[in-house]
Amino acid sequence: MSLVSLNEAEKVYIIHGVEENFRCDGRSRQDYRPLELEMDIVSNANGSARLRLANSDILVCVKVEIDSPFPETPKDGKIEYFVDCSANATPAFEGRGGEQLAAELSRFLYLAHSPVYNLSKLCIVPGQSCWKLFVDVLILECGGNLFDAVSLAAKAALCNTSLPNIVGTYEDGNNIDLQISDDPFDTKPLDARHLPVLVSLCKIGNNYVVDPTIEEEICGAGCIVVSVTPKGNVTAVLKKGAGSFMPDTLNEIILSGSHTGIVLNKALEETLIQDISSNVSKQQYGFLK
Amino acid sequence: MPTNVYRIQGPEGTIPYQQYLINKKNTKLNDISKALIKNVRYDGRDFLTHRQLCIKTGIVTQAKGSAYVECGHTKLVCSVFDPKEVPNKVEYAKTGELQCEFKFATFSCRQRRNYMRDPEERQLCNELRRALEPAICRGEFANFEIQINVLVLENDGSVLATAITAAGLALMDGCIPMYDVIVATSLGIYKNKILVDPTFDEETLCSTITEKEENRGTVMLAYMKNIQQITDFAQNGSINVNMFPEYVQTLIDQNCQLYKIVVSAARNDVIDYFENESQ
Repeated sequence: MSLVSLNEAEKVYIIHGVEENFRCDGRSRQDYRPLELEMDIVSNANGSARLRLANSDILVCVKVEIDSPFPETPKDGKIEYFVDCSANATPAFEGRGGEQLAAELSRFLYLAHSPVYNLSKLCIVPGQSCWKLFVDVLILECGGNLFDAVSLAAKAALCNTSLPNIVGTYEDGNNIDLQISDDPFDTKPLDARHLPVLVSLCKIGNNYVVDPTIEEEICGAGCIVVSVTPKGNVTAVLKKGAGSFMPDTLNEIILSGSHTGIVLNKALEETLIQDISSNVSKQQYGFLK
Repeated sequence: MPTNVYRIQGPEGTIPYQQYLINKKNTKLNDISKALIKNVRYDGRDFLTHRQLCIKTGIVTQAKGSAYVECGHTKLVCSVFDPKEVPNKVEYAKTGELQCEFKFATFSCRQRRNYMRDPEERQLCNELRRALEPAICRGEFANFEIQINVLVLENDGSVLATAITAAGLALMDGCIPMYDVIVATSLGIYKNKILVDPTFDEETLCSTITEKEENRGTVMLAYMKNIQQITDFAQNGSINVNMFPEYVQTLIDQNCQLYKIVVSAARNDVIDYFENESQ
């Protein structure tokens, strides 16, 4: 994925550090790196968020459009995830390099969200028209732990999204005419508070660490990504890397991931509330720091 | 694996006629759900019973190793090709690579599948690769790659688990060195009930959205029995975190039973081979 290469001594140093519960950047095994979140930074999108997790930089924009529902689910809306690995993030993404990672990220995001996200809220006229959400994820910089960062940013962007209010519908035979309010502030927010976030736990030696850096990901034998809702339920699990796990270790990792996920969800929730309350006098930072 | 983009894809925007059947309400799923509440499975199986397996190895003559596995109505073919040098590769790789391809035949599911690879196939392909990577002695094939192809002929649930078991058999048939026999099973969870080896309908039922606080979803686990290693674990749905140890244990018990079947199939193959040779 990235061009970082480590020699044996560096790997041993990282592995021994993890054993002592003291990682290269001074964290303990269960610590997260600092997160920075800025909401509503793309004016043309219906909802957007930019998240910086140490050196990982993610921009997520949500656009809504009107579409007709699938014939098999006439009462449901649609949601689609696109991940774009920009070559700016790492030269490894150049050309078709990031394609596999992007496909995997978008598919897993869909799998994690689909068991809890009720698409019937996006219905306008059953069988005729519905909202379609395009969740576009842009990876601007890659500093490890992309799964967690992308899911946090996607949840923040979906919480920030609001759907325009529909004033009226006119039916003429089979044709439906929608009247949508042209006031940009006449909107209703999308409820996405219950969506899960992803927590990656990387197994290094006999221990596991949350929020692995790129270097730690290279040293790790395998990685488990757990998707955790605010209530602590698990909606999806994925194994990354070429390693294998003992049954007890796996159970322990999932349990620990769930605890971390609850804390992470809570922190995000608090940040979002703070963002809404300070909306009037908010200072915009954008992409310059 | 490059796909032929010039191939005619078939008409776009067609709708399966099943949508227009007079009995439009999806009563089959309701029937299954009602039966499950009464602790009966739709096909009359016990909750902890795996479907009957049919295993045949060495069916693709051009491949190094191959296996055909039927698990109830789920039918698939897996073939493994010799280790070969990776084309256009500059760096030296200490461990061999696995090149997997997971394909649903266009007619394998209820709804027609497209010829092009879709996101689900890509994901299943990744899962298959990750499940097999820890099982194969990849150190023996430095700088080489092994091609593993899975083609699903009929999809009636638990495709990934069946595919991993079939791939394990095909690798054994192809005499690729492995650390242990690899088998996989999946579970469906519906209203806190555990369904071993769910069918397609049961899987659909388990993946429906629930507003209530109950466990629902699917879990898949690939296991190497003798060295007690889980090589792949995949879950989807809404499940309480404290239920995982129970599910993992159930899956491991099921995999141990499956292991015996797979090993006895492999043993029969070896016996057949030597009998043929002596003649």
